[in-house]
Amino acid sequence: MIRNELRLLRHDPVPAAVLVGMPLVLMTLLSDAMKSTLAAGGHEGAPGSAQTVPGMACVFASFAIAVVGFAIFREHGWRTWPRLRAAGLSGRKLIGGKLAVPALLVTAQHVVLFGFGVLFLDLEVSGSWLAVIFIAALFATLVLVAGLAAAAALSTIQQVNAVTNLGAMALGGLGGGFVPVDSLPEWVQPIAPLSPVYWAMDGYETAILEGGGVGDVLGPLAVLAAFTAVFAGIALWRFKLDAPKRTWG
Amino acid sequence: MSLALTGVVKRYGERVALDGVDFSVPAGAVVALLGPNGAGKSTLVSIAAGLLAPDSGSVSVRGRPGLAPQEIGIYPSLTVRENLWAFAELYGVSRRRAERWLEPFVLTELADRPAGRLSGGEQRRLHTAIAVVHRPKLVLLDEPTAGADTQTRSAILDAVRGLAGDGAAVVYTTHYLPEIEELGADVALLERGRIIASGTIEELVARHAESLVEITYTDGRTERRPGTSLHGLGDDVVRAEVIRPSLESAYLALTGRRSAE
Ligand SMILES: Nc1ncnc2c1ncn2[C@@H]1O[C@H](COP(=O)(O)OP(=O)(O)O)[C@@H](O)[C@H]1O
Ligand SMILES: [Mg+2]
Repeated sequence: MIRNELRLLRHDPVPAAVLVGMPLVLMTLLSDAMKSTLAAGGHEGAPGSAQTVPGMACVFASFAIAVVGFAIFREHGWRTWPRLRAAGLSGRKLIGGKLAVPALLVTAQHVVLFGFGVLFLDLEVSGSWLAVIFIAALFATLVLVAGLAAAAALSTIQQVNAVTNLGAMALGGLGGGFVPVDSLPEWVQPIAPLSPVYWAMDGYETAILEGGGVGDVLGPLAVLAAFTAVFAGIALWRFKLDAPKRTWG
Repeated sequence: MSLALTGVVKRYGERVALDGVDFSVPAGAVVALLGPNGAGKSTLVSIAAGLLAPDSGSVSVRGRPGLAPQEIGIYPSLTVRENLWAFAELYGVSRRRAERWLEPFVLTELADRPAGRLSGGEQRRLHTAIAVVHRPKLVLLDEPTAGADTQTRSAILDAVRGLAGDGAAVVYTTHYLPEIEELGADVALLERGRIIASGTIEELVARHAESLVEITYTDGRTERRPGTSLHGLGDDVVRAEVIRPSLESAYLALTGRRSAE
């Protein structure tokens, strides 16, 4: 099944390419402007990439929620879902098969974005790379599980489109993915922690700008794990192999 | 038996879709599952395929059935060949073995075309080929010839014959009685979730068929009379048809409807 997912990706690589290419462009364009924003926030001399690289990574990883949702819904639209089930694929295998390629995509996204940041945008991790990797890995898991929860709880593809894409933008903005939370309007500050992106960015800031190690980001990691658990709960509660899903047509 | 359902009941909420169905198919047999829309044919097929669990009763199936659902299910962006591969991989069948089905389903020349760009009949053939890619011992085809062109219909009928000849049990839902006669299939007639008749075509005709005259009046009413006499028809008759004892008249006697209705 994973082979077929890769085959489908090969026939239509554009969305995946956009999810990696687009944040690269935005990172490059925004890094200079972000330098002064960071300075105003107390990080004098830090490169703008310290905000834009993790920020864009969070925002564009969040689009993987939609990628997972669509990967499941399109199978209903093509009416191949019952055929996969008739082939004897268990729920676990079906879901594993559906998550594998998005997982690969999010991993590639992080490697490319952070790699590009280090090579071309003066990104430096003053603390622990391992902490950065933990945050990235946990955030990636969170978005994949959130995608499953969306696919399980929503019943039409229009809902998936609206909730996942708009949700990704909103949570990304709210959580400080575009600009740091402390430069967002006053009234936004108290609700920013409702976004998982806030906690990922909090951890990244600690590890990248403040010299933090793994021990220093356990707090944000715990919150991200809690978000993941909530989404997993929704997915387990609502997921039914034979649930009808309305797509196009 | 390649498929055996015993006392199967299936409800969708209040609605009873299958109401105590006993149905079995031996190896090498082709059974045409007939019945008006909503009779429960697709539900029965889904249960046999393991997609639905019955509310009560038991289901026994030999091997992993091959299923062609009523609605076409293919990957439109993949080529015909890749569609076969995709399902072959799930069943652990080699690509080469999967591609052997191109020819019987008249897909050889379309092998490298994206499935989404095939005509309806071509898609239906691919859809059916996918069901048998792993040479199942039980083949479930839900309305495989609905809306099909002549070439598609004859390719599918030939494939059904071939599969049964190789020892597979084939269950086949349809509305087209001539097809069943052509295949010489056994028949099971499902109505409102119950099997109301089953047997060979000859048995059904002997037991249930009688000659009828179907009369259509100017006001659109139709009436059916036993016998073959066309005498004494009034001016208000626009059409009168004698239906000889046949699968069609047996179907009519059992369901009160023509098969195409
Ligand atoms: N998913 C479903 N939910 C509710 N009712 C259904 C569902 N599927 C089928 N039915 C009902 O069950 C009955 C049998 O349907 P079906 O098996 O599709 O019949 P057929 O294939 O013979 O046309 C019909 O009355 C249909 O409306
Ligand atoms: Mg049906």
